Amino acid sequence: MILINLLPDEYRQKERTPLKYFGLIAASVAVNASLVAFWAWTAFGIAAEVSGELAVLEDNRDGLIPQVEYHQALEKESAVFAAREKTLGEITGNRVSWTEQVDQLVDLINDGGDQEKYLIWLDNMRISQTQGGRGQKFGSLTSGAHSGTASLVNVTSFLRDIEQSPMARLFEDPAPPTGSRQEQAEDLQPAEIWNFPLSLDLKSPEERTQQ
Amino acid sequence: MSSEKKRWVVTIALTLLCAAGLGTLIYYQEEAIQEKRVGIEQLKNQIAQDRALIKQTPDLVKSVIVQRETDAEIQKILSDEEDVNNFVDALYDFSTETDVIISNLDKGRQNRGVQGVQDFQRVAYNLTFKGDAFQLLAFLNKVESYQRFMSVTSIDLTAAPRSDYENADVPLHSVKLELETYVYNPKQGGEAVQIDQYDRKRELLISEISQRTSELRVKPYEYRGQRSRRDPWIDPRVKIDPGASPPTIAEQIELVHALIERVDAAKLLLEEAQAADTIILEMKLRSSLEDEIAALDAEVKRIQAEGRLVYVLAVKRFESEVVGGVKWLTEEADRAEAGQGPSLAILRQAEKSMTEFIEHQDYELAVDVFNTIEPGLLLAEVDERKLPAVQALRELHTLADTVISFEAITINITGLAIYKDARPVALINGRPVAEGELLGEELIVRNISTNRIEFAYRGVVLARLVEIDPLN
Repeated sequence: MILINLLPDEYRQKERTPLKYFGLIAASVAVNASLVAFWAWTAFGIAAEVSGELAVLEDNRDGLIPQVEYHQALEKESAVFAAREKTLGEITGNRVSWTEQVDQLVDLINDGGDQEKYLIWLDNMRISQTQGGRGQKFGSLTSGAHSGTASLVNVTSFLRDIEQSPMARLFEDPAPPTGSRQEQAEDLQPAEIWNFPLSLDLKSPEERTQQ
Repeated sequence: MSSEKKRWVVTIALTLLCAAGLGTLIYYQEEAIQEKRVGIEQLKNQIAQDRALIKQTPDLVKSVIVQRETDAEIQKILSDEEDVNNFVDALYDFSTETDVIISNLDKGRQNRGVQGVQDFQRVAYNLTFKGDAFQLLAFLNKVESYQRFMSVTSIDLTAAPRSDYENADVPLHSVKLELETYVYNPKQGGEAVQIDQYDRKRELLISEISQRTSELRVKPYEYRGQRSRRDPWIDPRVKIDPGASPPTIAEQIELVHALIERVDAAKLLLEEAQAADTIILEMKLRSSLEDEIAALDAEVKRIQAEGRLVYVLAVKRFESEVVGGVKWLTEEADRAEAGQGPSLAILRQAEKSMTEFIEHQDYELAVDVFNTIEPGLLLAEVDERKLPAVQALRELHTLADTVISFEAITINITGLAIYKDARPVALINGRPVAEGELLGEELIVRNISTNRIEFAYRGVVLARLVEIDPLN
């Protein structure tokens, strides 16, 4: 059925937005307005504050950069010097004062305990000093030696004195005594002597500096 | 679809679209904020690290200053190119000073030992020379004590043959040395960083710099020469004549031992004589000493003439401890009589007399005693044992002389003004003088009291009695 309203306009009932639709519009506006407000709060409140803090910190960092660069330049210079000192330390630390060692050997031979303990003299002396490591020796002092006594006990006594002398700071203990007795020389005094090898191995640089 | 429904759909769609757009905007906004917050955290950490680093800068500056100054010291210790050229000259100088005879010098292997370190270049030399053990030691010592770093890496000594003993005054051994040094030629490092007020900061670090440089310096060994020692590379056995019958080794050692005991006893006698408290005791001890020295000297000459000692150790001990000991005793006894000044006993006697005179206020007599003995004091004070007595005599003389000088000064005290809570004032020689003021050259008023005034004069406190009535 078709319903036709024939009433004049002034008598017709006014057209109104339906209440449900109005509710929808209102909800839509409320939601979007809230979102706009939240965006505005983050954009002009939090973001601005964070940006401001970031700018201040960047300024601070920029102010520190020259000082940091100065520090780093000093560190670089210091590292170069430290490397040089380390190398010099290695060079000088490896050095053995051979004057001192040979002088102490001469002292020991001359003192001989009470000068009546043993009579020692040498044919030669070979001293070598190397970098050592990997099973190699760090150096040695070797010599063909003689004791003007008829007994090997005096040789043992001499080697024991070396172990107890200041030379022991740089040298390992000498090898156990070996040697051979030489026949009597009629025209020389003392006539009987013992020939023996003197061999002393140098300790490592670390052991030498520790003691 | 009715228009009503369409309107609903369009409205809802527009609402959702708008909300989605705004949500996206908010999402990206939040992302940006989050990123900035992360950046802030990183910057804060960076700044904290930078500040911590900068905090260490003053210590690093100190360290670099010390290192720079130490580096200058390294350049002094290690050779430069010019020094290497002088190295050979130095070796020849050492050979002249130590009497070794250099026969060969050539360059050794280079650049061993400091691989990868461009700043230090090894320079080695092989040296061949002849000399006895003590010349070798003296030469080695010169090399190892040289102002520039030098190291001996190898020694090869072959002893002089026995046949040389009769031909040469001193048998010379053949020695081959390998020496090395390092040329310091810093290649890296560039320009030094500018340090503000460098000189002032260096001055403040002077003790640390000094300590570090002394640590770097290689301490040389103090070689004290031959000191009566025999050369261990010379066969010490002596030839004996087939017909001769010298005492046994035990008898020779015993003979020398007995003589050494006598020399030691004579030395004790000398010490007792030098420390004697009275002049009479000193004279008695010196007389005994002279007799013993004469007897020992005669014994030494007799043994030397008879040639009874042939065992090398006995001969060596006889020469060093007996002959040397008698010689030393003779020289000491002679020195005591001439050029030693007054004896300890005389000095003690003089000190006692001066003390007594000063206690009795006879200052002129104390000075007279000092003047009598004074010419010999310069010689006496060289002896450590006499030095305390000489110093005591000088102090007593200074005291007596000061008192005499003080007494000669005119000090006329005519008034005193002593008020509560005010500095006392004395009227001396017509002018008011307060405590601490100078009265004349070297004369300071030290303390004013109602009955006496103390003066400080030449480091001594002296007093004058006040013989007037105080004003208050």
